[in-house]
Amino acid sequence: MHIIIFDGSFKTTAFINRLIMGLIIQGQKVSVIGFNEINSNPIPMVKYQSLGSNQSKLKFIKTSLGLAVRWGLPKSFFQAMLFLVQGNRKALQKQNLDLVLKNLQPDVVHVQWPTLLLWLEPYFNNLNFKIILSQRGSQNNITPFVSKSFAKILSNYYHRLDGLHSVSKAISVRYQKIISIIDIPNHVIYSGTSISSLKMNQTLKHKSEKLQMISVGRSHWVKDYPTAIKACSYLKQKGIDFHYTIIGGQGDEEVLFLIHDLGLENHISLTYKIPQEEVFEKVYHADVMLLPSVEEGIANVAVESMALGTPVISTNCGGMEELITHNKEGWIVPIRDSEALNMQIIKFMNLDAEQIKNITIKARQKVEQQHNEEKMIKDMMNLYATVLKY
Amino acid sequence: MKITLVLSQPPGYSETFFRSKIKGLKANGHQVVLVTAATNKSFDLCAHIQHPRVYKNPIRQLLSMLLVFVGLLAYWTKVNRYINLERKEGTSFKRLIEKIYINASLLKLNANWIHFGFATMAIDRETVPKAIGAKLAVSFRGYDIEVFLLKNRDCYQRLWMHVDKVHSISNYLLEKAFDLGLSKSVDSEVIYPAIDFDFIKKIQLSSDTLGTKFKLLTIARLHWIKGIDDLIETAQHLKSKQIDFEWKVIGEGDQKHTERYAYHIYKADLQEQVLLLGKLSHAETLEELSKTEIYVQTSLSEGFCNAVLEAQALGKLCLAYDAGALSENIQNNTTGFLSPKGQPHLLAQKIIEVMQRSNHEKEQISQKAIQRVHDDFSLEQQAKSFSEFYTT
Repeated sequence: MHIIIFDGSFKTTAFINRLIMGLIIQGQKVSVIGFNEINSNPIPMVKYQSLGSNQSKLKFIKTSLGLAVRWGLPKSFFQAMLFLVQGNRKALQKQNLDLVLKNLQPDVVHVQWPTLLLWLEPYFNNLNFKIILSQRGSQNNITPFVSKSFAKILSNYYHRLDGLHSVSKAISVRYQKIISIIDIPNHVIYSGTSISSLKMNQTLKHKSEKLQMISVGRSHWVKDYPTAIKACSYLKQKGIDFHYTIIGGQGDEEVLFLIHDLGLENHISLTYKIPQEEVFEKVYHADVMLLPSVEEGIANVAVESMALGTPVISTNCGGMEELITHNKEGWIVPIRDSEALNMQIIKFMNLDAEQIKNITIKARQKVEQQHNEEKMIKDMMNLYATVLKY
Repeated sequence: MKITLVLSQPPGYSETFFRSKIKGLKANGHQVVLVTAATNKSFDLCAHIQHPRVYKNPIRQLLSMLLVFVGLLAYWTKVNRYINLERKEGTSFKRLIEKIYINASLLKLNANWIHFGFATMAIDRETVPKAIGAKLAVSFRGYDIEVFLLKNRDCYQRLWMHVDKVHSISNYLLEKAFDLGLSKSVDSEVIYPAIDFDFIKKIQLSSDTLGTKFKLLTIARLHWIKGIDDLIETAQHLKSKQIDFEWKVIGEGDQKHTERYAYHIYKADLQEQVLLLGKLSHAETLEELSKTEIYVQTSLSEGFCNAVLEAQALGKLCLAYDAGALSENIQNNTTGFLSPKGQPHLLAQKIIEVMQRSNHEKEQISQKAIQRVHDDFSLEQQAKSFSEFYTT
């Protein structure tokens, strides 16, 4: 089976990289196509094919003419020259995509973001390959609900897809709020991670003199750090000794303002993005992870935290309740509710060590069973096979 | 007096503060020059000079630098003074070359005052006024003091050393600046924004606030500092009390902020109640304002807030968070109402309480608000204050 991953860029996410490596190990052929030229971190045995860079005009011309000479002489070459004279970048990129799809001959084109479906307009319902879309991220769970024009575009393409991959049960049916139900394979495949490589912290949590809390994630409004910061303000008012670290929160003006405004400079520290190993190290040593987001598929940082033995207090956003059952594998609070988050942190502090240990063990078991890499690859192979038979 | 005003870009027609300031200074016999970053926009009220453009292409940048430096030869005395001042401050040779380039337009000027419209505009230009024999004045806006500084600690240390006079749009910002290292011995003055009553009179204002729904309005950019999430949560509380209302928000934001608030409204099921109208002209804004019953400001901080002042000028009942300088803008329980910052449920309670007041009480507040704006925030007063700012 030859699978093309269409991400728009060669810089694919960690989740896609793990999927690609898994597919290669399974003996599948994988290509990645995107609108860039340079790939600083390629995965071995993967073919990276540029569709013409958006950054460099010179490289764009070189790639376009190269593709036309290799696969489309003479017609495509003359067409490419014409588009270049006209300065019609988009038409040329479309031609590049056409040449690539015809010559790489994939069985499945796995599209990572809904906006990329526009490029595949001429190929829906073609006889040569199937088109699958991954449902994840803001293009699925936010933009369609605030932009009528985007919802219309989605509805136009969803009915012509061959299959859907959904990162959670919640997101798998989300589209039904704006589009009528479509009868195509729609498989929930949880993101997989190498759980066995993550050593679980066996020491008893919440025994540090000062409660150490942590959040991990880029600074973006969906992460709703203000709610966590306000919860910290309540903790401070109650005289609780704590420290909260937001990895990835440094430089965010809103977060900085709130910390300053609420007088929490000595209680909250922010860092810029740090290497994955350092993130694991910090999460491993924290007492509890906070996930205050207003929207998520299923947050990988929570999966990793649970694997590392650090329990998670999460909001009930997106698919998080598929990962955490309240009081079983962690704790769930409503979104945008700093008071509820504050109360849950205090409840956590009042639990005895044995109760917390039970939660961390069940959390580890849950991610081992639901988020292991082998399961993700197997499930994705199953989706591809189902779609090809469909 | 020759006054050079430095801004990031020419003020648009709706930016009344700088436009009325320039008009007022000219009317009082001062000569005003506006200096902004390189732009295609023109300016109609006074001479407009631009800073040299900074190019990404190194060859283009080098050529531009050559041209600019040749143009500076005739001003060697000032440039030489600037070099000496910067050398004293320990500026490296490379940085000095860059600074001469970005300040070339200012170094050519003859002026009594260089007034930086925002504190951030003065960064890397602090010694220029002294080099050309002018005095340095600076104005604060909320962002300079409340936000920029958090990311750039000590960014104003050189400005504090070189500033001759400070203008603040509120006592709140001035006090904050003192806390942040501005010496209290530096001459400073608070000159509040003003209201253009002639413009208000020209607009066809509606006094028809009737309708089945209770009407609320907020004028604010869609930006986190304006507390739009709190606005939506306040609306949620109102809805939970079965109040039939419509809350319009005038102002635009970048894509991220617009999506953020549209999504919050969607999730809170408030699409019928909270309406994001986007950017409207000043006249359209005033028309909307005239139709509203209560004006609300949920900002987490404000340097002063013209919108609240304008709402009071129109006699609207104003409710605002007690944040930043809003307590100087609204006299609590006299010309409007203040509610504790960051507490949407308390703001919702206050809105309900104000709604339920008698018409007589509401009218009293409204009249006091109009009177105070007329008495204390007129363009004439502002023009006089600014004229005196440079001469006393």
